[in-house]
Amino acid sequence: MTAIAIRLYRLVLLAYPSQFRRGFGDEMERLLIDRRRHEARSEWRILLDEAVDAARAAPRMRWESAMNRVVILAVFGTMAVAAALVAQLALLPLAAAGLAAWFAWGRPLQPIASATAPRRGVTWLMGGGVTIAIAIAIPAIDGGELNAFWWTVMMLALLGGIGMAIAGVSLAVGGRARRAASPHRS
Amino acid sequence: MGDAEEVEGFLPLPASVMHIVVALAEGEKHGYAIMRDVAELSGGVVRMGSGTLYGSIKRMLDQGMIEEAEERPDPALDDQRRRYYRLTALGHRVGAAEHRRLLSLVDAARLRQLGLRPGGAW
Repeated sequence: MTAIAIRLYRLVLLAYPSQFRRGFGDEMERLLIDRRRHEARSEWRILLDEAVDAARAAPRMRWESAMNRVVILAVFGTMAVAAALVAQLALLPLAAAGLAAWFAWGRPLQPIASATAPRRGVTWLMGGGVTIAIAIAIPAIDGGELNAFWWTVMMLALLGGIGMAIAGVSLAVGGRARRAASPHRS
Repeated sequence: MGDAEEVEGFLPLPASVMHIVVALAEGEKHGYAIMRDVAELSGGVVRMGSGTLYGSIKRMLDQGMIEEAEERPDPALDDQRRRYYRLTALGHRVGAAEHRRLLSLVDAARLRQLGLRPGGAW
């Protein structure tokens, strides 16, 4: 087997997920050399066979690998969003108590309620949802193998998205409550 | 889960996996030996590429149907990149169950004279 054929085969191997390459790449290279030694075919024909086989087998492996990660991330992402919403709900009684106290003991220096706060809240909430969706899709974009860079990007996107969603709910609920309580509302 | 239920969960085996099981039924082999055996047993009809072969091997390792053999030939006589695989007890049971399933299918085909009637391929 010539050195150039081996180099080309290593390029073919890049079609497979990196975890699979780490586990079986060396062995597959050895198998290629065995095929050349024992089969009455030119190395280019063998290389072509292997490239065709990679075109068939590699996409399925990458798909399986990506789907596993997407499913795991989707489950954890949903749990994180659910936890954030539960936390918001738990804060509602506190907010209600604060409002009640405010009404009971007067409203000194009350600000004019912003009419745009609920709308801004919805925008933030949608932005958070999109960011979380991007975070969940990152493993598929990267071919199912997350290196340190993509892992960091994904986690930042996930945390940022959750933060945006929480801020959005706070703005929407808080802005609505402030508008309801304001004597200056139109 | 019972033993029979565990084995049934693997069936029907993909054709590539059953070919590997049959190749390993006579003892441990490395990747190229499996590939050559599959081609010989199928009369050259089935030719696995290395991606198909090692993809199936990886799945079978994950499922516990095969394992890597600890004993290695003398490093002076063999490339260290080669790994030898053998069937586990589960692999043997799953292979036997698939064998029975295929036999019953062949029997059914024979009973209905598949391919023997006018217009058949035989």
